[in-house]
Amino acid sequence: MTSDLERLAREARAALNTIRETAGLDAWAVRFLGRQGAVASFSKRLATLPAGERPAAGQALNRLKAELRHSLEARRAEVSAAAFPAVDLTLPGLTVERGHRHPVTALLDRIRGIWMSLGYRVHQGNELEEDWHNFTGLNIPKHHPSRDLQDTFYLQGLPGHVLRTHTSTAQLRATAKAKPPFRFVELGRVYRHEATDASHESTFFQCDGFAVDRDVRLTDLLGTLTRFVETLFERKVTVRFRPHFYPFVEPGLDLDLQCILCGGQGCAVCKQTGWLEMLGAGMIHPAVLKNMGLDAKRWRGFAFGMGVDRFAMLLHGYRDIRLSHSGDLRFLEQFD
Amino acid sequence: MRAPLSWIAEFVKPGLKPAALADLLTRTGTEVALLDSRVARFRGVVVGRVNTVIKHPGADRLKVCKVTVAAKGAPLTIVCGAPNVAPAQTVAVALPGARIADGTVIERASIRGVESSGMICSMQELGLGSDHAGILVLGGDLQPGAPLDEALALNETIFHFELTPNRSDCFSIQGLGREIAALTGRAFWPAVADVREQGKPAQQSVSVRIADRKLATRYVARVVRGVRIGESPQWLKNRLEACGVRPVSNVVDVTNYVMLELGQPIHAFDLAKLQGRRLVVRPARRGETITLLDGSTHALPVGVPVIADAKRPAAVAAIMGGEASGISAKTKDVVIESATFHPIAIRKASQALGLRTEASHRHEKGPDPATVRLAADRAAQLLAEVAGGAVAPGVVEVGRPPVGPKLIRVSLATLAATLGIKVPAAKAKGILERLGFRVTGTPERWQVAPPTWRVDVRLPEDVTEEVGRVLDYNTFPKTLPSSNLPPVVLPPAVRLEDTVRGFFIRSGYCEALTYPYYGDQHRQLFGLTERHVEPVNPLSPDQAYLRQSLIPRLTEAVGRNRPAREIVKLFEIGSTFVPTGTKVAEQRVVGAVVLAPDAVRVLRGVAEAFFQSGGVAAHAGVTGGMLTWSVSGATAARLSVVPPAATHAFKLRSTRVVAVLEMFLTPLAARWRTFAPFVPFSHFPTVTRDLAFWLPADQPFGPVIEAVKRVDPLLKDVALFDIFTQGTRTSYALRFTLQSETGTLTASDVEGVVNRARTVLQQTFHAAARS
Repeated sequence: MTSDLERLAREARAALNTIRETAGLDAWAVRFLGRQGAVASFSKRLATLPAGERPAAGQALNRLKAELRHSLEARRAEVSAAAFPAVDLTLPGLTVERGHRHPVTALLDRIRGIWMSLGYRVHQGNELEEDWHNFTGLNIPKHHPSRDLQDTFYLQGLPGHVLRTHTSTAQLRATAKAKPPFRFVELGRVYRHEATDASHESTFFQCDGFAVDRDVRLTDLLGTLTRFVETLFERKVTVRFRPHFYPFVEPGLDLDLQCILCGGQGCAVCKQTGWLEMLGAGMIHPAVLKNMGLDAKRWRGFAFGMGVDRFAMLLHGYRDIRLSHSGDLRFLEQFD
Repeated sequence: MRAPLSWIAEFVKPGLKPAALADLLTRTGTEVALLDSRVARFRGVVVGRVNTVIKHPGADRLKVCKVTVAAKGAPLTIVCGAPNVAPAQTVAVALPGARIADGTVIERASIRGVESSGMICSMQELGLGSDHAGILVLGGDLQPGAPLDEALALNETIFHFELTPNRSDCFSIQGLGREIAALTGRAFWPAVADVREQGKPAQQSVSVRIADRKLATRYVARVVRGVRIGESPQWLKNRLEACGVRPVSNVVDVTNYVMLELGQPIHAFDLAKLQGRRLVVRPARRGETITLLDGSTHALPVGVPVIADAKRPAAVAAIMGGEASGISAKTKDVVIESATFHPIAIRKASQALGLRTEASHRHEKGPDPATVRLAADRAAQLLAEVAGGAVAPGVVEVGRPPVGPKLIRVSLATLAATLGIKVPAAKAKGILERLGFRVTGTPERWQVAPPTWRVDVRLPEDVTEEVGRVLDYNTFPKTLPSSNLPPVVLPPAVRLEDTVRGFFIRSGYCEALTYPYYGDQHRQLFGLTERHVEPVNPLSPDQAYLRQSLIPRLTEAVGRNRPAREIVKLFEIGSTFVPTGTKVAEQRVVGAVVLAPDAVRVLRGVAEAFFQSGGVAAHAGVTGGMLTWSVSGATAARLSVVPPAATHAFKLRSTRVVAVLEMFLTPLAARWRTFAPFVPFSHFPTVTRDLAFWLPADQPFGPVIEAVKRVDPLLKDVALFDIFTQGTRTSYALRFTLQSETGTLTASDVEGVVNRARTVLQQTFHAAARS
């Protein structure tokens, strides 16, 4: 019996190794492992053996059955692998049909995320604003030279209204129902009545924010802006604070960023100064605090603002701001 | 404002290199935008004086000149072709060996038989301008032989300041000098006037009056008799040119010079042309007109401040003088005006007339009222010096002299707390005093008196800024505010915008931004006939209206991409403006445009998938040629096709439908589910069956598929996968997907459902089976 089993095993292995296709494997399985197959006929012979030999013979038969099944699966894998077509790994990839995010809104999103992480609530105001919220309430009275800083669109039949020239309007809008201490940020579209060219647009995006508390200091503003810039760039950057005039803050200042293109050596983009003006900021003017409904003796605050489009230009390296509103896919498809 | 360093140096010796000074000024708030350090350019070009000019013996158009080019020695013979060369002129001479602007090296040469030892240069040949019609004539005060660089002060450092409107004091050389002195701690020499008076008193020649105190508070006039109008000396011209002011004539140049030096605008009248020899500051009257020095004629709006003589306006106050009373070549006696006008009155007038001048610019910001008299004296002194006039004794003056400044109460503790730093009292006081402030009292209650030139400083916060900016914010520690604030959450409407943006981008759409205004063409093409919000001052006709829809501009953008693309999918999120009565409804809207095969179905698929992603039940219906979705009764979205005229106008593919979608975020935000609810799914196998049939071509398919979907709950999906039209009938092929929650479906389960669907198609819609 044992020698017969060994013969059967040799025969089955030899037959399996010559098979090259699936149909042959199926026939082999019927011949050796089928209900009427060779292994099955051995099972019947077990009963004829003396009782003492049966367990050993039974175990040997089971081992053979398992081995043949395993060999069959292995051979099946080999046969189907051989049937696989050849793959040319050097073929070019197919174009991905995907959408793209506008670089300016992508940057707005990134900026917003940083301010939110610093505890600033997001306000969304209207683009068509009242003169008071855009100017007078922000300490920019009528017939004052500081109005010249922002050329303005006025609207027919809507006296006392403008297209907002800055998102600083949030200082009066977001605070109308809020109780201090608070921090707010607003990001959105603003308008300037300005002839358009490669570096000027009549509409673009800004981010403005402010914080009011009892003990807010100018050094908090310096620290906050530095934290913001370093989070945005994800590294230490060299900044410079420069006193500046904005009617709605006092003291007022600008944050200049060491030119990220030339590293401060001076280039065409930074107009040879080595610095890029990035943010305007300051301590909220007492007149504005009063217009927020706050007592300037008890509350102090700081405010800041930045244009986003020019910054997107700088980061991505495009030189014509008008591309932003072109809807040109050759532009849009280059970004995220 | 531009300022040459040599002029600043008359007020202060900074003791710093120009670059270091520029940096110091910028860091303390007087921004230097550009430092223009010029270096010597003209080697071998010197000042010459023309002695004689005779005609060239061998050429009609050439002249032979004798030119002195050194303090000693014989004059040179130079052949010159310029029409304007004349004896006694002071000119620029390129000596043999000199290189001129275009690179030519001048050599000794024989020109038609006459030996020429150099060249008399034009502006263009020197690279100083484009004028090549004649030679450059220099001021007669220059010494022959002096290098041209020195004579024209060309190796000068010029600071280009970017000044803020609050610092009116810095719009003058003296003011900048004062600021530099305060910053560097160096000595400051204020301007002084040295007037030598002679003749009869000024009062006998002219009278002045302020008729309306709301227009001006002070008016000072001086009289200079017997001036000789001519060119200014070169030093004066050089300074004006360095500041970007074009020299005109000696009298006009002096007025500009004093304005630049002291910040106080000065005007000069021709005394002989003043009717009644009087000057009155008054509002313009109805019907008055004036022709100004620039030749323009203006009908004066009533109330615009003017300086009038006995009969008519002689100048628009603080903005520009009149031609009739202005300085001409024949002027002998001059009246100098130096006045303090009301800044707001001047600003309104400037806007009403559309005239901005260097003078109006300064008057709007409020020059130092204490400088009015000094400026008049300075102008008189300089007129005597450069135009040979005799200054009449005394001034003719009306109005109040400047009142003392209002005291500001400042607490050092509050000042330091606002800045966030410790400041020793002595240090803060020292800074303020160097800037010209007077500080009295104890640090808890300082009384601070700003100097007359700092009209911008009125509040304790202004004083805080003065101390802070001079200390340099860059030296301050950087801290963060203490935080005791509630958690930050996005407003739902803003969050939904993010969700829309992400969804469309994942669905293959590119995010565009378009102009939020459009013109008549856009309105016509898209049938936007409702009233629009209109800017009073649009930048161009195609930006005349604020948008009510994002679609026109997005479609236009698709057209711009069309030449190179078969498929374009764009979307934008933005505001629209719809007038409602006397107000404007501003709405956040999503616009999307698709140029692609089967565009309508493509866009519908995205819209419905989006609603589904937020668990919003939106009901679709067709009204007025549009597919409209409503959510709780409010319109949430509209889908339509671009009208044929617009397809044509924007050069879209004419045979292909372009689909447009608008979604309104407010109704959607109210129903949006941030955390989409999970629906358990069946673990039993799905079975699919296809069914094709004919319907009349004019039968809308929407009701058909809706009816089929309602046949049995086992139908998990009914998908249209093929559609074509033959004559009057259209073939539709549907794929049914069936699945049970409770077991594996049998063939008879499936056939039963499909047969019922077939029955509905035949009986309700008269569909014919397709074999």
